[in-house]
Amino acid sequence: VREGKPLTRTGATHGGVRATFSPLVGNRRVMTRDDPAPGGEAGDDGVPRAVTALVGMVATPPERAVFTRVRADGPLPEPAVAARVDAPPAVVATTLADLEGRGVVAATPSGYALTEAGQALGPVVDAVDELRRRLDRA
Amino acid sequence: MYQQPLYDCIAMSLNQREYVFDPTATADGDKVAAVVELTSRKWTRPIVEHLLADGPLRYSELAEGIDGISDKVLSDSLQDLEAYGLVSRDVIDTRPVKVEYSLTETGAALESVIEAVGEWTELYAERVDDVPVGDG
Repeated sequence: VREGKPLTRTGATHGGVRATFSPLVGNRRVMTRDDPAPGGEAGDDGVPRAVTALVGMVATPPERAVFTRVRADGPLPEPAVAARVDAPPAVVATTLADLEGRGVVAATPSGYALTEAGQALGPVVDAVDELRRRLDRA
Repeated sequence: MYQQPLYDCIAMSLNQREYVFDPTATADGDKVAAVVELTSRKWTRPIVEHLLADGPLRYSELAEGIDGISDKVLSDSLQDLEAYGLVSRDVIDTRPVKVEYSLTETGAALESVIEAVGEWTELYAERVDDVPVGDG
């Protein structure tokens, strides 16, 4: 049973798990009954499932498009992100809120920018993009 | 008054726009997400590393080279990797017949995904909460 309010605003899930950061509560982890290891319980003792879910989310549309734009041009206000990824404003707003809730982007006075963890996801997204290109060619 | 559904597709040329929102185009995303999930499994990394370093390898060579892996897990993992076109299974027409596994060109891209995800996990995994579906 979670004691804190989930920070995510959508029900988007990947791999049956929804990943959330908890930066808005001073980086204090929201405890769960089982108090899993950092990053959540590992899937088959491999990468924690929550990390896999986060990577899967950021590497696929529309999150990928929003992430890529903010990464390249951020900080960007929400309307500028919406214009550059050419998605409905409501979708962009939800996606930004979702990414913010997971600690990937943060709202700054100049607009949305990647957090440190978000910047570190860049090479992950690049690697997944290359994988996607090869999957498409195959 | 007509209200545009949230997930309406915006029809724009890919030449003009970087990204076209198309909620029906989930197959690609699903496949990529599924492969990402596959790379996060405990035994995928050693299998990929062995095939990269020494492939093509016979099943028994793989099994001997990966400490602690069970026959079932190795067999299932190879089948999953093969299903996504990441590993190829070649039957060599010898007596007895030999089966060799190797990474495809696509599969070779797994190495950088596994490394990048591993590095990110090491640095930031503790900031991620694991929230099961339907909980909260």
